[in-house]
Amino acid sequence: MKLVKKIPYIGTDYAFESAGLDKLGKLDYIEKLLTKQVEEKLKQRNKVEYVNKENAEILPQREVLLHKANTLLDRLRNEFDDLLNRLEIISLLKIVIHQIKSCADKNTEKYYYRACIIIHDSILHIKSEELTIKQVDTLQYLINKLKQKTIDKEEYYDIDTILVENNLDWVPALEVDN
Amino acid sequence: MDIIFLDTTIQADKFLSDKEKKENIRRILNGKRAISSTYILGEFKSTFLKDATALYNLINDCEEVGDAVIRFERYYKSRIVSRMAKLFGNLLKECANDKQEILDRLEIYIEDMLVKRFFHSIDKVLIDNTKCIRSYAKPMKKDNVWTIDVSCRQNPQPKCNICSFLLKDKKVDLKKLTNLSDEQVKVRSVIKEIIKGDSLPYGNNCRTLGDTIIVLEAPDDSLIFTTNKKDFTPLCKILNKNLL
Repeated sequence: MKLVKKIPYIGTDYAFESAGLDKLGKLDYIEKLLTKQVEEKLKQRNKVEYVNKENAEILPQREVLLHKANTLLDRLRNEFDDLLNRLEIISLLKIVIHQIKSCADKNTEKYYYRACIIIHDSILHIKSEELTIKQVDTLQYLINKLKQKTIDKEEYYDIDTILVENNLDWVPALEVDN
Repeated sequence: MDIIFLDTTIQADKFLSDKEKKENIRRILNGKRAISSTYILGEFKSTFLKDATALYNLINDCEEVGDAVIRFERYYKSRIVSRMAKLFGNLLKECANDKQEILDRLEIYIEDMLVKRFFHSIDKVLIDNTKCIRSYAKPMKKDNVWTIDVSCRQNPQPKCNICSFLLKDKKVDLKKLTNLSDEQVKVRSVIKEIIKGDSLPYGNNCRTLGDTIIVLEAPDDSLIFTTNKKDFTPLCKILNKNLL
């Protein structure tokens, strides 16, 4: 009931009619509005906040995700010989990098955002059974780079070069005819 | 011989091909000096970079990615080179049809990576006999639309060096190429017209002579690396150049 009150007041059917909506269209519009508000409420209710043990400060989302990524890489190294775990960790790592990217602003943090994309896509192309420990070290190094507040163009280019040189290319392999 | 001259097809295959081809190129270039030219960069920009911007604008113009797939087939079938079409297919798969994710990646190709990868593992200083104007082209974004001017026409004449390169520096070699076989009749007739002075080597003529120009500017002590052996072999034979 609380949510219903939040629907913006639309006085008469005139507004809907002028927008070309009949009664069904009106109901559809209200339903969409309600769904969106319910989703938003659920998102807020389910939001987990992480707190620094030392000073009780709420940690920024990006920091929490980077910590998660590092934990996953530690697990990856420790459980490297277990192929099933390796597959699982790589899949989780990919999701975490995607989430880190989502925390970045693509306009003001252009190269940070793009660095996340290319690291994400390189992980996407990894066949976990072919992964090497050297590649795990490379990923660790690059994820540590993401701990920086900003990444400039040169650093972003370096990340691309490091990925290519370690057989972690983010550009998909294309079956082309010449 | 340790100098390898990379043409446009290899420059693209270096990163826009399958794993095996990429590894093969890397293996061949390992320990060698790889070089390229501004003419090849111009050709690269006017194909791959131009196609990437066209693809970005097409997807951006569609409400949903599915519409872009339909329109892609309709409008770009003959235009977009196969690599960009394959790249589009891969992006669709990897980005789960998410329009914004695809556009973000295309923007990376357009703004940064196509040209960066062109320079990867080659000499940073390019051979610049032609001073090809297309090599200076830069992609620009305005109102969310990417454009790149890679135009080169007979009129107005571009401020490049192709005329002097072909008709002064390489005139002797160019005359030899009037003996090309009937298989390359189009190239042969453009060369004859240019030598006679009936035509100028700009715009379409310059594009028709693309492979010829690349062979002419390849240093004598280099090996020309291309996937287009069919068109390059007769040119190299006449000019006594070496093909990898």
